[in-house]
Amino acid sequence: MVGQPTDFWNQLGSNDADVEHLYGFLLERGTPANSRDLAVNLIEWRVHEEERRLAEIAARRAPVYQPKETYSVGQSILFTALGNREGFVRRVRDADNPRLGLFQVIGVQFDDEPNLLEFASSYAAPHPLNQEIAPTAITLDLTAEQAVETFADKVRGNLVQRLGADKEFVHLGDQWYLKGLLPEINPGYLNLAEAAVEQTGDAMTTGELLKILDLPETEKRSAMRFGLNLALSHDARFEDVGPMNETRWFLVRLEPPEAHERPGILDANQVRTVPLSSELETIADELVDKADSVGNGHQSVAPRDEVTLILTYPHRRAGTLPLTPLVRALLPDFSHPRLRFTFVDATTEEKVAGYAVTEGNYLAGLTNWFASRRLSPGAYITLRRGPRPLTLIIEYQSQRERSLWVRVARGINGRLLFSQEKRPLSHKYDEEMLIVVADPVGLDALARAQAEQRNLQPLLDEVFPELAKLSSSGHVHAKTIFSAVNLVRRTGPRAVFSALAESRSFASVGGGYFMLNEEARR
Amino acid sequence: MAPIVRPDIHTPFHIDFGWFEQNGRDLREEMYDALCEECRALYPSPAEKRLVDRVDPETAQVMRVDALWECLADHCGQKPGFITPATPLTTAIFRALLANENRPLTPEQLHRRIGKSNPNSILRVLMGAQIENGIVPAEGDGKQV
Repeated sequence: MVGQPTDFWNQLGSNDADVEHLYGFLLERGTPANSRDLAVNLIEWRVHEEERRLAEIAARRAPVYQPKETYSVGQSILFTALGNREGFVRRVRDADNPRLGLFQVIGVQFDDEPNLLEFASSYAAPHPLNQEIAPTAITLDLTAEQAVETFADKVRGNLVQRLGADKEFVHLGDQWYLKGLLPEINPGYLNLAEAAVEQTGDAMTTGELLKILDLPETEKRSAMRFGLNLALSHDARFEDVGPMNETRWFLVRLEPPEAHERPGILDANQVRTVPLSSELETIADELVDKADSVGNGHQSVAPRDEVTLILTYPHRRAGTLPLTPLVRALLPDFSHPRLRFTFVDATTEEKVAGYAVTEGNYLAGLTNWFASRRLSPGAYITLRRGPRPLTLIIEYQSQRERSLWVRVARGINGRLLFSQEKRPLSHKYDEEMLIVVADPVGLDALARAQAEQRNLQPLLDEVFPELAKLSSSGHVHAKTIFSAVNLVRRTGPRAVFSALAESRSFASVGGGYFMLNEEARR
Repeated sequence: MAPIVRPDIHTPFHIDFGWFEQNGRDLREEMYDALCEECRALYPSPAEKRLVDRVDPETAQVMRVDALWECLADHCGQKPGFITPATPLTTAIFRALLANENRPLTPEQLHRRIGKSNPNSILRVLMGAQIENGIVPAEGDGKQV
């Protein structure tokens, strides 16, 4: 067994005997275990079993097989080259090989072989097995610790597959337990849990729910916790919105729609990008937006305590912010579709329920917060790690309200038009990104028309002259174009800048500014 | 069905026994030619198919195998004179496969075994217009794309 690692260890965790052993292990333990602990237990058990078997063989003084030795019918022999299997000699015959001369062939019976296997005996020719063996040679090839280190991952994979198909076992995430040991969680308890979460108005940990439900103490606490988590996970009313290693239950019906389904305005078509000049690349880095990325937003970044974002129109309209890797690093790790946390307004200390949503990579829950502060696309938003877990400080840079000349966007007769108008503003903003939206409904109509459009060029050709007319020099900054494009079509900065850089209609004049080239102006 | 890509120096080759029949050649004669004098004396006729006990070099398990194969794998094929620098390349490749009990070998492995030429030249010989000594890419081992 131990002498055949690839065959044996790679299959460990797949057979009935292994499952039976783990059944007994969990029964005795009385609490759930993760797949790694199960794999380690199984490996250690098999190694100890093998040690016990070898000790038994040694006690019976079964000799180690060597081809040069002579054996008789009925004798038991230990075959080290076959993984320390023990066999019994059932017959002896003369060998037939003129080149090798005289020797004998023994027919050996093994437990798991239907037919006899034949081996050389009285064979004096040089052979590795004919070398002198030390009395301690009958040992395992590796210790339990070595076996765990080498094979635990493989065994764990086998177990997950095998136990997952076994009706006696249940699992929640990577915690495994026996169905027969689950505490009874009847519908009444689940209704009570629903009422408790609704009354609290916030997600509740399993421990908090257990206290309220006052379940009969028939099982160990961890088994009760597992049983309740399992029951809640199978009930569509509840969702685990907690961070990694902390289960927190909330009611799906209390979650805002934008947290549950990505708002359509955040949809971004795949647009090709090209290598950018270092100037545009720097600007794109500053405007990091998930519309540019193809990953899950969970790249590892050097964590910071504070991130400042520039609000774009799609997020302003959806009440969301991009969940960039830097923003994600401000929050605890989570593996569920949503993490519920609390935004805390840095100025008023007002608390707002927030959701970090994996699918689409965004933070939801800010619709009212944006509206009450009358933020326009281009506003600076700062997020800071909160003093308590599951809190995120949010701040906009407020200033005394003043009427300022700003770019104003409208959708009129199927066209995106811009004008310079005096508007009251009470927040700081990025000069190049600020666009006040005068007509959200008109922009929605334009956005619907843009939804099927793959090529950015026609939109740039329409928007650029409109923006250029607002400047005496006719120059438009790349960030302004990016902000304007996003009024009707969510697009990442790299995609917008790539289209700008590739277009023959525009020419870079440095500093991130572009102008219409002569031909396009005509 | 996925197309088979052109064999390269990592593609395993073996002897196709059927090729000998189709081309009117006798594989046993070829094997016999490769035997040393000592083994020829033991088995005077290539036509006589005789099974003998073969002792596995690692486990000492005994299997009944053809005497010519046993000689080539365990005796003649292990001798220094079996493949020499003077042995023609196509013969050396053939003999290397005989000594390996026709378990497939790649041009890289063949190069290491015969110690002459280089893997790419061996590949060119094996992929020449005419199949030499029935040596073809091992079925199922050809890379798929």
